[in-house]
Formats: sequence, C-alpha cells, structure tokens
Amino acid sequence: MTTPMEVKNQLSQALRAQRLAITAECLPPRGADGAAVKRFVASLPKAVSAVVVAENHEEIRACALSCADLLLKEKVEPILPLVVRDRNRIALQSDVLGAALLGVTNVLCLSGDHQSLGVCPQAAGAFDVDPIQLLQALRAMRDDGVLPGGERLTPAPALFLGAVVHPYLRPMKLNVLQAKKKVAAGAQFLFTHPLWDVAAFVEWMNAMRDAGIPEKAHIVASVRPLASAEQAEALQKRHKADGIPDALLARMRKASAPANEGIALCAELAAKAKDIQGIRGIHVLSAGREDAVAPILEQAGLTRA
Amino acid sequence: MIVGSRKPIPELKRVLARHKKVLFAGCGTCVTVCLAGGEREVGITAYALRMARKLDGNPLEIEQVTIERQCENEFIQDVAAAVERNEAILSFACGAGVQALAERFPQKPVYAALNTQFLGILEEQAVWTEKCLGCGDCVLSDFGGVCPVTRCAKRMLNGPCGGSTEERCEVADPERPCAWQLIYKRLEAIGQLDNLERVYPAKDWRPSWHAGARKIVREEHRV
Repeated sequence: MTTPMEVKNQLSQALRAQRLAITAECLPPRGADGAAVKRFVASLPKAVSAVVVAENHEEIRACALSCADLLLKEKVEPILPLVVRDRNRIALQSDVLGAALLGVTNVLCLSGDHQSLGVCPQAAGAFDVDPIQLLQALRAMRDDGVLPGGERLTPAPALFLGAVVHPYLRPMKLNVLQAKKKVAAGAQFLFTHPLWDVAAFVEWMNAMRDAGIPEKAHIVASVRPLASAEQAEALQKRHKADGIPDALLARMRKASAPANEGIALCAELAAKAKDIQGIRGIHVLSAGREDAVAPILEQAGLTRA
Repeated sequence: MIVGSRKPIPELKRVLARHKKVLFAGCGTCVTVCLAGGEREVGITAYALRMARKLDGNPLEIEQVTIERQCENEFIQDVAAAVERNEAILSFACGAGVQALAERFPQKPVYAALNTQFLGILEEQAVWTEKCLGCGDCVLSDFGGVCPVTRCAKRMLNGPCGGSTEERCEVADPERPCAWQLIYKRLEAIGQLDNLERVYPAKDWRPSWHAGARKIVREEHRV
C-alpha cells in the first residue's frame, strides 16, 4: 500500500499536541436560516478546534455538507459525518469529493441512528456499505488516489479519517475486535458514544490501551448535556446500549433547574474524561444545545485556547 | 418457507367493494403452514366478509377453493372453470401466487388477501422469524450460519453498531437479538473468530433485487 497522506489541519494538530483537543457539535438549522450558523460561531469558545456538523441525527435538518461550507466561510474547521444510513456508495463517494472541493478535510464515518428510532420511521435505509467498508474506501481514495471502482482521482482528496467507537459494547473481546478493525480500515481518530457510566468507560479504555489502540488512533471522549429528566428517560429507553445510569436520571429528576443541571453534569463528566489515561480529546455532543458548549467547557476547566 | 399474514377485513372489504361474485383461492403450500392463506383462513375470511356485506345490504357470493401450489401453472389449471364462473379472484397465496394467477387469467381482476412478509422459520408454536432476504450471494458460510444481511437492521458486514447489547438489537420493533452478538457467539463456539478480523468487502448487490426482478434459467433442464 502507498504511504498514508499526512493531513495537517487544526483537528489533527490539536490531537497530536500535548493538551487535550476540544471539539463540539453543531446541529444544522431546520429552517432556511443560514445566519444561525453565524450565531453559533459567535458563541463558540476559542478552545474548540473543530466542529462536527450533525447529519440528520434525531430529526431532519439542513444537510451537513452545506453547513460545513458555512462554517469554513466563518473560519471554523468542520468535521463532516458520512452516514451510511442515508447514502449509498455513489452518494458517499460523490459527497466526499464535493466536500474536498470545498476544503473539508475531516470526515467521520458512521452508521447513524436507525431511521426507525426517530428521524423518519417510514424511510428505507440505504445501508449499502458499512462504516468500516467506507473507511477503507476513503483511505484508498486519499492514499492511492482511486475510487473503489478503480477510477483515478487527480489530485487525491486530503482526508483525516474518523470513526465512532462504543465504550459500552460487550463482550469486551468483541468491542476490541471492532475498534482494531476500524483502525485497520483507516480510522485516525475515534469519537466515543457519550460518556455516561464512568466505571464502564474506564474499563473499556483499559481494554483499548491493552490492545494498543491509543497509539494508532486518537480517542476523543464525547459528553452530552441532558436538557431534562424526560429527555434523559427517552434516551435511556431508546439507546439501551449507551446505558444512562439510573443515578444520573434520578439527579435530573431531582433538579430544580434541569437544563442547568444537565450542563453541570456534562461538565463533571468532561472533567472526569480528561483525566482518563489515553483520552486525547473531549467532544461536546451538544445535540442542539449549542449554547451549552461554552458553560460546559468553562465548568470543566477546558477553556484555554 | 414464505411467511405472510392476512390483510385486515376492512381492507379486503374495500378491495372487493365493486364485485358481487368472487372466487377465494387459498394456497396449500407455505401460507397454509404459516396459518395465513390455507383452506382454514379462506373459510374464516369468507365467513367474515359474507357477514359484513350482508349487514351492508349488498350480499357477496363467495366460492372457495384451495390450490395445492398457486405459484405453478400446472396446479392453477385445475381452477380455470371456477375462475370462469366468478367476477374476480381474491388470492390467499404469497405475492408470487397472486401474480401467477393474474398472468394466467389476464381478463380477471386478481386481488391479494395477504401481506407477504419474509423467508423464515417457525420459531415456536405460531411464531415465525425472518432468516433470509434472498440476496443472491449467500454469506452464511463466513458468519457462522447467521445472516447479517437479513438479521442486522443496518445490514452491517463488519460487526455490530452502537445499538447492540448482549440481550438485543436497539431497533425495538419487533424485539429481537442483535445478529452480531449471535454471529460472535457462533464463531467463537466453532473456533472461527478470525473471520471477524479481516474487513469484509462491500457487497455486490447485483445478484440481489437491486438490479431489478431476477430470473433463473437452467439450460441443462430446458426441453
């Protein structure tokens, strides 16, 4: 295989630096309001190196690629999710080439929440390729300058490749196998599912370290602010695999100002995550609460630029 | 076997609204075994529709017949006279059987009494589960005899997604185990976990339905 192309952008440099890299999530607007992205950028703490533009995560929103372009115009580095649920291999390849034209260099390969869980239960899912197959194809596009069909790309797109990993997936042996496979397929950075259960997360990180994963790919721990006890309950019910502990739920139920409690809780988890050995970055998965990013980073002591 | 379920009576009533005399045609193969479209279900449905139409003051005359195998012309021939005597046919076969009747009797309206669902097995008394999508390029040998194409809601070929637990798949309806947990357990039990280490290539969907409806010709058996 050809030598991997080294992509130097803000995210890759932050992940290689001594200090933790900070990233945040931005939900593209639903209505035709491009200025919403500008408002988000204005509220964004300087510590944030790159922004994940969510792609139809829990509801249909403007497409991530257009939002990534708006971010680039505001001098913010985007991380573009490529969701195999919504696009077949034709659209995925084409979107990546289009993203490269715009100057997007970070991509995150993921399967996406199954459409029947919320975004549009009546829709057919694409699921033409899986995220690991996509990673492998993107790496070949970058390093060998070829599409999966063999067509040459001149020049090849510069891509920093990411994948999602699942701290709570058990048995652990299966979890390690998956992480190794993602790295082998080309993942250079790994975003975790949101951190809820610290003990289970630490157990998983130990397994990742034993498998030598942090030496091969940068692991970024995600934290998500809860908006209310109802939302926490719904998430616990919908994503059983992510295991929101009952204690967190109870805390949200007891809170007199649940939105603030969600921010405090998220900041506590971020502060814990930053001390876990092998974690290279913190991702604030805002899930639409972009205004919560700044206070979370502040309360977690992660505000230095 | 092919598994289907009977459509609701109100839907069948609406479909047959314009007719006075209809042939109800059951099928004696898969849909009889899955208790959806055999002689018994034809009888029960005929009873219900007859009563519903009588209550509306618009009686429906129904003739009942069950064809041994509705997907084969040889068996369909046997009911030609009965088809002739009726205005239309309500077929209780799978989608293949319904279309076989429609092709055989171009002048007769043919309606579907069932929703054809999947290729599956009888799990326990009166419980069927889907096992095969008929993708045309079987991968079962690589995955310990558990099909990820059919049984993983995301058709993933390289391991579970983030919605997998040891108990179940996150996609809630219907409740079912995560196919990848089953694959992992099976491969571990038969000493083939190394199958999961290499990246399984993207599937060529041409042998599947994605290149349109398929056709098989076995030249050696042609006459």
